[in-house]
Amino acid sequence: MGQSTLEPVVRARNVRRAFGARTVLGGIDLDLRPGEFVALLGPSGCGKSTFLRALAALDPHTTGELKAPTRRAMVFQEPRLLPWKRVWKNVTLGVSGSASAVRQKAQQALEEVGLGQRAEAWPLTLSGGEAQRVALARALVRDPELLLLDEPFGALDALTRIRMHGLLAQLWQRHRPAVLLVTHDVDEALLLADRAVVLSGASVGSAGAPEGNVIVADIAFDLPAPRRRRDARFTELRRKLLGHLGVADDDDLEPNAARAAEFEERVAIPRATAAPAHATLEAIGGE
Amino acid sequence: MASNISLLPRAATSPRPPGQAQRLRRALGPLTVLLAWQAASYLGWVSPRVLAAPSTVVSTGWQLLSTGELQNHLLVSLDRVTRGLGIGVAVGLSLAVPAGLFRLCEDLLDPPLQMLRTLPVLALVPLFILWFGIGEMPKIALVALGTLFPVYLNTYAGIRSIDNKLIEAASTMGLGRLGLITHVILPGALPQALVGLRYSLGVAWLILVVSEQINATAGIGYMMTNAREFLRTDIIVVGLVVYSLLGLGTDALVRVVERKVLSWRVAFAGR
Repeated sequence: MGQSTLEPVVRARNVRRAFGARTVLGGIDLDLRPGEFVALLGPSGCGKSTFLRALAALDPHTTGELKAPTRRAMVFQEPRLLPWKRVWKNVTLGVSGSASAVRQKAQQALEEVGLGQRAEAWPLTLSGGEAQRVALARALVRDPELLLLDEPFGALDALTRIRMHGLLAQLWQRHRPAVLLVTHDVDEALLLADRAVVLSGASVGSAGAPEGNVIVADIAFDLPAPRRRRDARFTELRRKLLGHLGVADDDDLEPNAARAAEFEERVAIPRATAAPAHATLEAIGGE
Repeated sequence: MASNISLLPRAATSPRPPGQAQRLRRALGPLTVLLAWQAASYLGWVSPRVLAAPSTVVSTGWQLLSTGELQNHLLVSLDRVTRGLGIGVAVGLSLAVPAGLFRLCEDLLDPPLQMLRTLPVLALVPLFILWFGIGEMPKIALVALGTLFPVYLNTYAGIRSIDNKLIEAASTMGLGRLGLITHVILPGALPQALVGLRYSLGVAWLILVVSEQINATAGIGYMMTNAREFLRTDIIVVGLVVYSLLGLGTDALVRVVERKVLSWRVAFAGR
């Protein structure tokens, strides 16, 4: 297949999009190689999803040069399953072929995401994580050259999200589509992607970007194979990405001693006022 | 101290099983009314010219059944409703689907339909008699016109209420316009369209009642009007009972269809 060729699967040149007087995308240039996993970062409202929607051919008002493969699939933040079709029919929506072959394809894809048992279920009976796995299966069953992910784990709880990260990494290893993952979670990008692209994010009306947002950073991740948050390179990249996003690294959940003390201090003040409420709760509980 | 969430006493929260005692209690009200009615008729407080006794109504009903008269009228009425409803639903759907799908059709169809909708259908009776005479035609036409609007309005609203996100997702799955219509838009509009159908059924019987009392020679409405001439309140009440049974029956039928077709819904079923 296309592994040998260096022809990019996605080629964007000067991609622009304006909503009325407000220019959101101010000329995006981006190439994606086959099988590459790229995270698209940026503050909210910067046009990440707009760019992804343009790639999915959902936005006819984008200008510029944009080349994307026809074999592409998209997963949205919400599962967007059709509630009146059983899970397996949702997975193979729009897939042609004989009935039994289609059914088999659906089953195979569902088993890959660990939902082989729920093929006949109605979508509304699934949990949020299950529904999102069905959405992944629905994308994979099309054997996409390009997989577009629009904050697919944004609405999931933290534990489910961790599991979904593992599943996505595994599916990508197996199928090797080029992936463009829109996220605002720097850690998610660092755990999953090979490369991150950061969009500038001047808010509307500010003098920063009257001509719309552009790519301000394109960073390849040279991280050792099992990625660890404690890895020095990981933290460095993290700080760098957060810097591009205009956020100071908070060193996350590993506060140093000074910061811990500061934290304690901040929490200590409201505790005095909180105490009576706490006592009341206990009193109610004791009845 | 371990906090304990106190529960309300079990007896107060657990739903009462619909036991025999409760069913009996619920039947008590209607039974009392029937008995009082019967007693009032028996004691001569209510003249049979005003209202026939329940026992008379039952025997009259039985008599009408055994002579086959009731069945004849019933068949005629059912025939009118089926035809009128069939035409009304078919026209309503075939207007609602294009109006819901295409802006052009909406602009052409919706304004006149919204205007006609506000017209009380029964006010058209004199005009319909002039146009269609006094045969079956005006009755069927009235039912068709009355049932058209609930079906049109609800189906149209159902199509327009479909989440654009679903349409977008389905179009990224490679569905074309026809695929979107058959897989996303029409199934999505179905719940609302069925609400329209149920409403139409109610309207259909209502219109039939009125239209059958004008220049009819058969049908439940005719039977009742005819009975009025002879002060036969018992036959009138039989007609009323038949109408209400027909209304209940058709509504139950649509609900069965709803439960079958809309089994995918995990809707709030009430507490």
